[in-house]
Parts: sequence; C-alpha cells; structure tokens
Amino acid sequence: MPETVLLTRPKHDLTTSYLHYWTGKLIKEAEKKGIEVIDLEKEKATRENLESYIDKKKPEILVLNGHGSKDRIGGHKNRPVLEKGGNESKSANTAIYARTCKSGADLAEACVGSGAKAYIGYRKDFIVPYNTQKSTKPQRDSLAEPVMEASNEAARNLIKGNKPKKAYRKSQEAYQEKINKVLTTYQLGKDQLLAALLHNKENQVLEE
Amino acid sequence: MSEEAENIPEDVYKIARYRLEAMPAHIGLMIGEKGNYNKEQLKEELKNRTEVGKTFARMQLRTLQSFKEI
Repeated sequence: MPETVLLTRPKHDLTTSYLHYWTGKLIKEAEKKGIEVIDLEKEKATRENLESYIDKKKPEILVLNGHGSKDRIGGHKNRPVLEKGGNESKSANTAIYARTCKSGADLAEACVGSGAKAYIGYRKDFIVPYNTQKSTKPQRDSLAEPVMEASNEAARNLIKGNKPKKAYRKSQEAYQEKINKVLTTYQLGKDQLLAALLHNKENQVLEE
Repeated sequence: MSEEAENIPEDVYKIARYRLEAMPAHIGLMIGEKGNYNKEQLKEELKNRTEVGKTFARMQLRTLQSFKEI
C-alpha cells in the first residue's frame, strides 16, 4: 500500500465540480487506510504546488483530475500542472491515474519515458452524462454516478496498493459491469449513459 | 486516416439526430474541455458538424455497433 497519495482536483466549472466531488470519495477511503493524502483542490491545483509536494513528500501515486489535452493536464483555471516537454520528469517513480481528456496519448508516453512506473489515462475526451436538474449537486446525479464510479476504480485500486495492470483491469471490469447493468435495467437517459460508459472504457489506456 | 480526418457519413448524423431527439430534455453531456451541453445545444453542434457534434455522432455509431458484439 502506498504511504502517500497526491491528488489534484480543481473546481472551476461544471465538469471539474463533478470530478472534485467524486475524487473526494477516494480521499476519504485513503485516509481511512492511514495513507497520507495531499489534496491539491481548487486554487491549490497548480504546477508549483504539484512539483513542490512531489519533491517534499515523494508520493507513490498521483491522481490528477481536470481538463487535458494530448500533452498536458490542467489544474485550476486549466493552467497546466503536468505537461510533456515541461515537467513530466517530476512524475518519475510514481504511478499516475489521469482523469482528464486525451492525456493518455502523448503525455502518458512522456511520463513513462521519464521514469513514471505507469500511467492510466484516456486517449480521447472523457465524457460524462449528467442530469441538468441536479448539476449543482453532483452527489445526487445518478446519471453521472456509473461513469464516475467506474473511473474511480482505477485510482481506488492504485491507492489499495494494487499494481497498475490490476488497477486498469479493475476499472475496465467496472465499466463493463456498469454497461451490463444499463443494458438490463430501466433508467432515464440510459442511451447516453451507455454511450459514455462505452466511449470511456474503450479509450482508457495503460502505459507502462 | 485519423479519426479526426475521417468523414462521417450522413447516415450516421441522421442516426445521431434521431437518438438525440429521443433523449430526455433534462440530460446533458460533459465533453471534457469542450464544455457541457444540454439537448438543444447538442442539436446545434450536430447540425453544424462541429467537433462536439462529430464526437456525439461517433459515440452513437459505436454504441450501436457494440450491440453486435453482445
């Protein structure tokens, strides 16, 4: 089991507010296990803080939330916290779960090439269906829940101390379980929930 | 050919439009950095063949293709 986990969870728009809430569940779980948690939330989700805490605390696991592109992950107000050709070497000796769009493409390879043990991310947009009537309270949005829970499984398993390959597999299994459930039960909006689960599952990647 | 460069057939846009019509009005999609879209906004994106519209169309096609694999 890791001793220290670092998480970024900006909260400056609708998407990041959902990521912020659902990552909070992982924080509580990690703290219950006695793991030291570095929570870079909201305006603390900056490159400077990420680098400083990595240098000081040497976390084994990085869980990075936010908007992203092929070669970077954004933090507060989308300013880059980790980027290819910038500070990817800071990820050396860590296992990373990046819940962002597209960074599973180039940034994953750059981080692993710079010494990261593994990188689980997404090579295309990370898509979440949501109930527009519940958007101010993500915890009550049962449409987003399956996507967020399946994606949480990758981070959850890294935090448990499982190897990245197992964490990736567990997340893929969680996605499939949610897909199977949607196919066999009634839920309003299930078509787009199914589409999002399938899209995210197929675009989740592991780089080692 | 990259997915971005690939042309999406009109039939796929048509299917996507029908599926969007069937979507309840209170459902939206958060599509990463591109933002969040309600049903009416998605209709516009699809009509204008924007990147969001294309993403939505591809998602619908892939979903339907996946039924063959079940």
